[in-house]
Amino acid sequence: MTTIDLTAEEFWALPPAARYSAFRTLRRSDPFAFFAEPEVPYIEAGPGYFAITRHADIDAISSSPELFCSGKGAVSIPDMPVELVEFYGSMISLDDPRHARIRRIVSLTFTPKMLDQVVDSVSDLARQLLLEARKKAEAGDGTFDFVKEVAAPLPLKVICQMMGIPEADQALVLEQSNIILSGGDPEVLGTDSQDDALGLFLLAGQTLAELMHRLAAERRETPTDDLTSALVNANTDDGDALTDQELGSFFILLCVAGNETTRNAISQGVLAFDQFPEQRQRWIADPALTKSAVEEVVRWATPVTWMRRTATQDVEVGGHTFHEGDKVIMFYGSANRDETVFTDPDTFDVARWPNPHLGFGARGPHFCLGAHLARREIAVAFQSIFELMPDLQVVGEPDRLLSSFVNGIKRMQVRLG
Amino acid sequence: MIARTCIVSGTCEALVPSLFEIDDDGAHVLLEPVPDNLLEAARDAADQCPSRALTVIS
Ligand code: HEM
Ligand code: SF4
Repeated sequence: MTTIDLTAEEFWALPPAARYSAFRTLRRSDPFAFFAEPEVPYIEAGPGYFAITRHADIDAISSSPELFCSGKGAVSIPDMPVELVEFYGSMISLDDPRHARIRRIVSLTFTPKMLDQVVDSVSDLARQLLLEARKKAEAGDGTFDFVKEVAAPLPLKVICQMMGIPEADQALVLEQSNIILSGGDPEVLGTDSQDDALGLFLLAGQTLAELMHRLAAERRETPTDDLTSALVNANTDDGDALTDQELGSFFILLCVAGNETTRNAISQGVLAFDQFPEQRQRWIADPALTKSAVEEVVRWATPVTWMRRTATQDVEVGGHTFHEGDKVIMFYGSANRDETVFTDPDTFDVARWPNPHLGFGARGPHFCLGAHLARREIAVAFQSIFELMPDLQVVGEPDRLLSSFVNGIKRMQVRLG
Repeated sequence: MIARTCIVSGTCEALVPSLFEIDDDGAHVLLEPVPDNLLEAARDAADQCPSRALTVIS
């Protein structure tokens, strides 16, 4: 076991097949492996964490929020200052009762009925992006970067439209959310200095929150049919609405949780269909496969690699006893290849059903709020691609993001025909 | 019964496919009232619903 170190950067630089093979080994012979924490500038390293790699154990942990809480941090292994956690994490790093309150208010705005108009425009947005990308490719060498032209702008535009962000501010939102999501990648930040990086990170959050505060004030004055209006104007059921601060944090969370995730699901999907062209033909030939195909894309891509929980008391799971304060990291990518749950887990199969993958999180109160929206976005994206770019081909190897948290693709050159 | 807070997570369908179905319009209960043999499973789904949107009326 000494050869597998999930904390080492080198591990996340391995090709996907090598990583999945290591996770298979962990599931079989060391399902509660313990690792030292990654080093983070200005933060004292904590005691270490348990890597939870089996589907059943992740399910058990995630569905017992009173035993394994999110409030000590869900998206960072080291403990961060609590203000930072709440500002950047919003509800994802809160426990009941505060989590339940925010979740109830925002759930009312994430209903299929509210999202219907957004979803209608996704198709137009996708087609527009694809047509523009085609023009660029035809004017140049016949290739374009799929991430930059299609996969990145689509989810961002959807969120901006949903929240009612004016067109003029959308470029700013993309730029600032990229900084928050950069994980300190010097290429994105344009600086090597960690002090500068931290400053840029804090400024980006502030900029997004201020934008939202401005919009909130406008929507209180003159409500429209966007989500911001619904979130700041008390709903009729119980008169509860988000405060300005909660709205700012929620918007940052949406920019983070709704953007890069969907972007990478689409990019990883394009890559998978390039590697398994017969699966593409299968889906094109049978549109009734859409529901299962979308789930399989999310299982295959697992855009969010892990979430953290912290034991609130001594508790036993899967034969292991955790102690109060133990940090557990739930590796969704490993669960999604668990051979005790999925037949031939390393086969990409658009007809796989049922598909109890944990790509949107496991059961529990934090289950992805945007799952329905993401599924619709992914379905529409691939339907538009198959229609407008049936001849899409990936050129060479994509440029992967070096990150343990996001299974990301930075750049992926594609060719038409 | 499914309340307005349903965000179409799909949790209920995954747990009790014979009782819940998800389509583009949202989540639907296939059998109402819930048959006795599915009552316990339905209550479990209600417990696990991330939106607390399910109420089992028996
Ligand atoms: C394929 C795309 C997506 C993936 C793979 C994904 C994955 C996840 C995961 C793993 C969680 C954490 C669950 C947990 O802690 O137990 C989560 C939570 C969340 N997601 Fe998504 N997500 C996606 C798309 C979206 C979209 C489009 C939005 C919104 C527009 C969104 C909004 C959220 C929010 C607000 C939470 C926090 C919920 C809470 O703490 O109660 N996600 N997502
Ligand atoms: S589990 Fe709850 S939120 Fe999810 S689809 Fe069923 S009723 Fe809707």
